[in-house]
Amino acid sequence: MPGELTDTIGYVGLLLGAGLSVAIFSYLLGDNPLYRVALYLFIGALVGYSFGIVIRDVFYQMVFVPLLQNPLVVVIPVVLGLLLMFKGFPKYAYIGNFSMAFLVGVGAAVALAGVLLGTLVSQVNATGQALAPAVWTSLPLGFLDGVLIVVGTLSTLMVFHFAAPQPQQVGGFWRPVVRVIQGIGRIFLTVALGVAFGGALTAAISIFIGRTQAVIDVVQALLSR
Amino acid sequence: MVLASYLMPAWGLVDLRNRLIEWAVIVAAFTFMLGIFNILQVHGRRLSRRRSGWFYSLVLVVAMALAMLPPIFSIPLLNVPESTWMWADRLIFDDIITPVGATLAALVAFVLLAAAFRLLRTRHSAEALLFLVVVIVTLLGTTPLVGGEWLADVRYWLITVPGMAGMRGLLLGVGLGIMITALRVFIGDEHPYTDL
Amino acid sequence: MHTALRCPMCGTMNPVGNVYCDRCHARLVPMAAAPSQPAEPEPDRSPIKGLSLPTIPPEHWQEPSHIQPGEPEEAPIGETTEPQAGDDWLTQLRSGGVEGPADIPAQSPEIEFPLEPSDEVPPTESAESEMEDWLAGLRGAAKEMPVAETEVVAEPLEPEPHPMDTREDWLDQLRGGIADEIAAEAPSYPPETTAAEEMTEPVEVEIPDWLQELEPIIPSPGVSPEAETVPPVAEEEAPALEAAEMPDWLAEIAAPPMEAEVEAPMPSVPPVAEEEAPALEAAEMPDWLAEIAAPPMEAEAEAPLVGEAELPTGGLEELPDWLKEPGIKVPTQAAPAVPPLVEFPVGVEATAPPDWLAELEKEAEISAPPAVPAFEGVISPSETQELMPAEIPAWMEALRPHPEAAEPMDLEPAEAGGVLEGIRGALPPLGIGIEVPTDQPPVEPTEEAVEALLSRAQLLQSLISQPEGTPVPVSGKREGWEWGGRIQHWLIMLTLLLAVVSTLILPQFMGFQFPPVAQPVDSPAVRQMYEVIEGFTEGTSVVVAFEYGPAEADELNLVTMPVLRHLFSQPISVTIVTTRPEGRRIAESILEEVGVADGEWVKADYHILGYRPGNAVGASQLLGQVSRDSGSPQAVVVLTSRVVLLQQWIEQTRAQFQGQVPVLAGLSAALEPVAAPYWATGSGPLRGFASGLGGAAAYEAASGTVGKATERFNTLAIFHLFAVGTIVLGAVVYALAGLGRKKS
Repeated sequence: MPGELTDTIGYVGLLLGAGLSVAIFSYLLGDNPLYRVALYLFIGALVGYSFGIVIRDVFYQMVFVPLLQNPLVVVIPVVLGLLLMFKGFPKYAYIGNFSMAFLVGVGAAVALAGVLLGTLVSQVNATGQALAPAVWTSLPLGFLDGVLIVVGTLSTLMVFHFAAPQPQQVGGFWRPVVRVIQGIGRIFLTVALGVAFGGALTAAISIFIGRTQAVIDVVQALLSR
Repeated sequence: MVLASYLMPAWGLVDLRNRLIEWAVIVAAFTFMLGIFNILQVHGRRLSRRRSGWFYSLVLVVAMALAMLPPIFSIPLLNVPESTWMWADRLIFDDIITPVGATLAALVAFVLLAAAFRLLRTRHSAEALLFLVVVIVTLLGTTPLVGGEWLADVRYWLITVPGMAGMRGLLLGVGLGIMITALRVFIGDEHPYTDL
Repeated sequence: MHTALRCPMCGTMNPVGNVYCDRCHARLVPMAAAPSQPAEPEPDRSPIKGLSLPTIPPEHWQEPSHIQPGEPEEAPIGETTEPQAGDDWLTQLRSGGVEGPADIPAQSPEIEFPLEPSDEVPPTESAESEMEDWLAGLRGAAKEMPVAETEVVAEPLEPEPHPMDTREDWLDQLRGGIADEIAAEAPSYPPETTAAEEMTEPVEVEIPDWLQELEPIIPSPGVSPEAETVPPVAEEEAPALEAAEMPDWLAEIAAPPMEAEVEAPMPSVPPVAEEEAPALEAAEMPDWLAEIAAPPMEAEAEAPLVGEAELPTGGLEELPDWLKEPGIKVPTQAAPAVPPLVEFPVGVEATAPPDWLAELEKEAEISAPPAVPAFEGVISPSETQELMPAEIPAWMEALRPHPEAAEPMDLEPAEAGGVLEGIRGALPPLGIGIEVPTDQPPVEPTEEAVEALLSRAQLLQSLISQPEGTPVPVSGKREGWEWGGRIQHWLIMLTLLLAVVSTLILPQFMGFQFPPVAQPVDSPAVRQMYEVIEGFTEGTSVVVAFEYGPAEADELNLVTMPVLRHLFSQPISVTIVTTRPEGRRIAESILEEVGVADGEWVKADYHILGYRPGNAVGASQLLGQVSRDSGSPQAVVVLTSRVVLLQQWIEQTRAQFQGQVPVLAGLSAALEPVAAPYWATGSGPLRGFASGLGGAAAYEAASGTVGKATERFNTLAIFHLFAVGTIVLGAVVYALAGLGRKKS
């Protein structure tokens, strides 16, 4: 393609991008058709582009190419996938249940293994090690921080319920004790969520700065042209 | 078998696991296709019946049809020259998807700031006040002002000790929930595949 | 507020008190007041036709006590039909108000003969005068005789009258006719029951003994078989009659009853009657009369049910003169056009029914409720009075027609619209549990119902009459909040605008530069990450996962670029993977921007493995494929802004390689608290991370480079200042407002 056309297309693209950014920013003034057009255009483009990537990276690379070399390798997943397509027809949706069961089974196994080995074991281990000298010496307040980590982890765990709330879960002496521990856990949880909120605000401001800068760059390019 | 292969990586279970996971990836790609089919169904119906917002559905369907072409043209088997589809690829990704997506994410700053501004409107508790203080310390500690480097240390302590403890409890809770759900699927107490 | 009812059919506005629409006569008020209707008089129970079972339970025979004095004169059972011309005079006599002898002990004093004829057919005066002569003598003899109860044998309806031309033949004919009639008689009615109902007072009118003997033999419920016979009084009194006055033929009749004791069981007599009949004095029934009494019981199940004996009201002129005494009142009732199927003595409450009837009742209870029989013609209420009340279900009771109370069909307004247009008397669509409207007149609601209906109608009308577009009051939103929200909205926009203008527009367009207000902060996590990457040796295999899209690119690109520059400056093998569709494109653009394609500083080789769907499953497949292709990687670098994606890579890496492969992360500022537990000050699976613009600036500082992150750090600091100021302002304003609200 000629460079001028490419440049022109690039230039048009820049303008299009800036215009769409302004259209999305216009949502601050209220919902309007310009914002909606930009939004639907974005969704359609993203979904279509993603599907193109799926066709290229999965159907071509993982199905078509092996199919030419050794069909037996991929015939089973292809059949499962084709059966899965029946989920789009309510009358015949039951045909895709087997494929969904296969997906759910593999996904659940992979997730369970990852949670067990990657999160639960490591996090419990790390909580216990917080009281180990090798760990709390690196903490700002030393052993106190180690104790805080252990207390905070346990108290935060007690804030969550994995069952339906009962009218009287714990009675007698332990009830006020549990309530106190839950209150402490809520404090730790508040700090954690506050830090997360601050980080999210920082991230959003960073993106806002980047977008504004991009618009300014286009304006500068227009002005300099 | 997949779970067992993680716990007992022997007797060819690892290879079996890899094969099954590969099959699952291929079947998962078909779910993507199912999603596309559903989108076309919904918006196509709105288009054909000229319901309210049909123009937006038209924009979506046209954009979807055009956007999937550049990645498909990039398949080596089709032997389409790169110059033919590269400009379209850049136009779609760099000039439509990236700016709109980034701007949508930038709007989050406005929303979060408005939420922080209104925090004490309905909540007048010590927890809300603590939350606000932690947010302010985090912001100022991320970009500590000159002379205010101690705020960075406070922020570091907040993140690595109380914040980490609270977040660890959250992660453990979520992890336990995932484990319970997966076990329920294994023992047949839950069968989400029939509800879809 | 309007006070009117809108018709659902035609939409006409009607006064609130209307039950029917003035225009189309559709019903406005639902028929919900039926249960509250005043208790209507007990409807006349018409005999149900079509049943061949004994319809007159013998309990009537057993409980003559239930007959109240003063009962309206009712024709004995078998006499409810219009007396046909030519009916046997004896039939008429039996069904008439023939008084029994006074000395017949009443098992229940209420058992009476119908003493008085019906009002409809009073005995004619001429008949009375003719009877006076010959009967006068009899009266004198019978004066001393106590009034006794006589049995009334309900005569079956005689289809054809037997003309009684001569005295000589009348008795023979009587004998034969009675036998025939009784054989065909409906056994369901207990004439004695009728008699029991009708006998409210001791007989006052003197009846000759010989005549009493000729009364129906079917025993009354409360009368023992013995009493069913010709009243013994009559028999006892018979001898009191002067022989000269009694014809020989009549004496023959009278004697056998006197002599014979009715001890022979009457097989067809209801056992209840036999058991519960009061012990009358031995009323000797003549044999012939006893035989006559038996067949009727047996023929109960065979003969068609016949109602009351027909009272030939129209045939009074055919009665013998001696019979047409003023004292003898022939009950004449308006006979229905069709003889009633079942006759129940009205007012007589059944006691214990006989066994045979009890069994039948049980079977009837067990079986399904009987269907509503078809009524043939209109049955007069008087005819139904003698019938025993049946156990009619409530829903069937509602269907009972009331000819005298029902509106004529031609007066029923036709439906003006809808499916039933033009149809009169159409019933509204029925649902389960809704009463079927009958021909009953419009329900007149009670006062309470009227008030409730009025209030409901007024409320409904007020709601309907509200003009369209009437704003529904929204609760919970004060006017002030709307302005407060707008002010807050514009205040935040102004904050962001000021920050943008001061940090981006002024420096670039006006040349005004803010002095640096903040410096990047060194982070242990960033330092550790740098050290790990710096420690990669030649041939190290590193997996780089691009797990973010264009929406997060503005922030994460600032983090990715210094990390990638550092990575590609090492002599390693980089495999680029992603579980997000747009991740590959992001990687390509970043690599292009970093300049790995043609930079001399680039020492690493790379290849893009591509995209795999399925999140954790895709990550696991990618790691497995990398392991198969080029052996276990020495590190996994995750570049993401989502918690789930960071977790999945950490977990899958740890699960697949048993913690032997460290994970490094380039994260968004929002993920720093989530990464901290996995980092665990360096002892966790995450060996280092750089988060956000601050982390990127710190990594650039650690790398000794100045990149976009460092350039933008000051802008971020100023934005943070504006944000903190806004948050503090909002906290102060709302805290003071809250305090003010509490005080007020």
